[in-house]
Amino acid sequence: MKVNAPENTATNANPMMEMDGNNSTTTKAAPAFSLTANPSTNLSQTAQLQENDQDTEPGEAITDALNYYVDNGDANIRNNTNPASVTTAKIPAGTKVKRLRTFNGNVAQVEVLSGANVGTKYWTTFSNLTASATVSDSGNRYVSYSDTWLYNGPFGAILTTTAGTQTTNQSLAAGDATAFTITERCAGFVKVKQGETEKGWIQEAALKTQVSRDRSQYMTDLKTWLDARYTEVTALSGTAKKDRIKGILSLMESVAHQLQAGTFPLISGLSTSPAYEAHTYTSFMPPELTLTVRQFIVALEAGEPAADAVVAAGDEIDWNARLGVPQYRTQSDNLAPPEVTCGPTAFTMGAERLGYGRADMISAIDSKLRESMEADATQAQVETKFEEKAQEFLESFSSEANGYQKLRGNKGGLAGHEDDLAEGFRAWGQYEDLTYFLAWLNSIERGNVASGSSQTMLDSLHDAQTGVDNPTGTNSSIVTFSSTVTFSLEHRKRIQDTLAAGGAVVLSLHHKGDDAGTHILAVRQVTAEGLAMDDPYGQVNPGYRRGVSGDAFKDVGGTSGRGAYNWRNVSHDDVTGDDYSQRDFTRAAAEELEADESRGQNEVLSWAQIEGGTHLLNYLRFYTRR
Amino acid sequence: MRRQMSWAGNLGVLLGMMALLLGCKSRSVNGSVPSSDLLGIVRQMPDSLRENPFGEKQGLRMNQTEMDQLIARGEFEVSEGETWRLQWMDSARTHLKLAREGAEEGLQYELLRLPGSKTEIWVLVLQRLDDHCCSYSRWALYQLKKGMLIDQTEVRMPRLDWTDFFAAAQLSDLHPASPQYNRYPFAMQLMAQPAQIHIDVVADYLELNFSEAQAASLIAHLPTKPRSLVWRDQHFVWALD
Repeated sequence: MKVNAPENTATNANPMMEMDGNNSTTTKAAPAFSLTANPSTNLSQTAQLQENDQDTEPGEAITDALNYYVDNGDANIRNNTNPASVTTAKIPAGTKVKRLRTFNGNVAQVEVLSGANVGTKYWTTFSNLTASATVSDSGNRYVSYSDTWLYNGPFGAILTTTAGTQTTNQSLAAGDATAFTITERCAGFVKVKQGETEKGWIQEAALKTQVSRDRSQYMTDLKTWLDARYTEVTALSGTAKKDRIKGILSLMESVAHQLQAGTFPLISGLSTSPAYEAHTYTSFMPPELTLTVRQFIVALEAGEPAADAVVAAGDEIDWNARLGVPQYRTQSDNLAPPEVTCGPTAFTMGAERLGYGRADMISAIDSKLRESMEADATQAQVETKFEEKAQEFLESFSSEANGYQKLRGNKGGLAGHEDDLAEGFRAWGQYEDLTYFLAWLNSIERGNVASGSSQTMLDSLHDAQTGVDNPTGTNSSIVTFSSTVTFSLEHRKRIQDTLAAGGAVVLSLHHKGDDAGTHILAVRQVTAEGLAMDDPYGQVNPGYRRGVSGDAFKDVGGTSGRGAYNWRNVSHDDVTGDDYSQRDFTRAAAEELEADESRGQNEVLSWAQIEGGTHLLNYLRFYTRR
Repeated sequence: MRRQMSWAGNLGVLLGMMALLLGCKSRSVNGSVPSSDLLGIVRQMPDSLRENPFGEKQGLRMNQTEMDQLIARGEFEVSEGETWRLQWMDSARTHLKLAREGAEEGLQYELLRLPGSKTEIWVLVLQRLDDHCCSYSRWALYQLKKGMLIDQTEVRMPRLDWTDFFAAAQLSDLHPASPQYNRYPFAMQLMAQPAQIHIDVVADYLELNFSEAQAASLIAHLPTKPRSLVWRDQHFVWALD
């Protein structure tokens, strides 16, 4: 953003000085002020444009207390004696200047205040300059990101350090412990100091305020507190363990509810052994706590309930949807072809973040099925229809040309058993497989589930959850990246803000080096180092770079199949088992993943990966809460 | 005049019949004469070539207005975040790339005008799809002669088989089915000067479509570099390794 510079009132006061473009010979009338200099001197026309007989320079002197910075790399230096004409020389972007004179309204004489040419005067077009503002009391700021580079000025170059052959960017370290204050601000850049030490110019969007810092510190403390509770939980067993977990989760729901109202409950005052409490309100976890709270939910849902277990209060709650803590979902265990279902799987994690659970998806499917049924169709008839259409859906993959595009990637021994699978699909089908089923019923291509058709999918879930036919929503939007639209600090902030407001963000990236083809995943959190992801396929190799021949799920330089490396999630399936309710592609199995099935929740896409070289990202899709 | 047109029409039929007898297919879409300009070829590509036989999404299916927009602006958004882009790869306009970006499956066409005589214009169309794990390609070779677009693919392009990439001994126990003609599970890259097609076996395809033992055996013997077809005497033939 450009800071408005003050208008040159001197020019307005003398309309006779107006000139046409850069050609000084186009002065339309004789100047209405006295000529200076010796009449015998062969004066240029510009030199004649002197306002008084003491000033030998062109234009008019001006009193301007502001400092300016050259805001682009094409700031031509104009002719000293005739500022209406330009030279081929440039003033470097980021140069700090003050304005001394003005000429023809849109040209300024500046004096350089920074760099090697301090004190030098140049004429240049005034629109090349952006004013800065001195800041007297900005309050404390903290550095958010590890790649907070220091610049030699607003619009200038990143400062670097060279040691031997290695050149590295200079940066400020991210952290909540070190406070900085802003001393000067210019078009998105700020000059900061730590204590009394000037540190230099950085982009202001890389800073967080004291309020944001306090919030993030609170989350760190709360996470530490929760980690201690989780250690205690793991020492418990049976009903005591489940009761404790439900108590912790309902307590977290209460804490999140207060946080959303702007209150930060005292952590030391939280009960370490809370009992479950039913709440009439709902809330969503701050993104910083998703991973921590997720482990409680996994512990709660793990294992088969005891045969004599009594259903207690809170047992029926879908905590993932209720707290907006999506279950980590791996596409490797999907019943639908695992290699091609990143979209439906990432969408499902996003939907869960928004508070839509598997039960909502079942209802949405039922509603869709009812559209082609008699108005008085019973629920039993709907469920029969569900099974029929599920069989069609599962059989639809049999016509695919390649094995990996077939049901369970053609490796589950399931071909020809679609009828048996359909029979139990409603009961044990994973949420993401049901998502794909709803998309199929709506003739939505799988690649569009998370993006182009996500609004339709979200609307179906919202209608199912609210029980009414709502107007079409507007809570899905996209940012598409290209050679002209690249990932910036503003995008980081939008992700952060969307997640902090209980929304979800789905991301598409180029995962095949310099080849086409994209992969879809869910963003969990913005961190100092990058974007923490829930990647349904596995963990992107931190050494992977877009634009370099390779693959995100292989070792750098690896040419074997992805299965030869330890980045892709694996699946553990007993392919001989004919009790499908016990297989790896069921909702129950998906709640208890081995470490090698859930590699994708360890993924952090570093800022260097995202922004370095050829850009990694294809699009960002934002879902907000309705 | 009427007689001349009739004579010309008969000649066209005769040429067409001769081409068919020679194993070539000729076409002239909607009676219009194909342009030697690559954009003209794009406009008049047969529907079969516009289709996407590899993936879920439709291929290069645009109406005339949409195609005009793509050509004029260099891009056409088919849906939110999903765009076809047109890019000339050289200043002489002999190499054109059309790519659909933004979708999970990347689909692209490359058209390359091949060296030939003034009266015989040759154009290769290479279509490639990259999905989540694999790559697929197919090609078409056209001769533009006296206003007729003659499909010379079957005559002047080889048919690929696994034996082009693996020794017979490595395949003897595996008996892999031949790759489907014109739907090759290979990654292909087109080079313009000189005209070459680099062809890579995709390890992930082997891993996902063969048994674990078969895949391991084939991957262990993957060619260390792409094999290449070169344009020679109006044919694409294997380059000597």
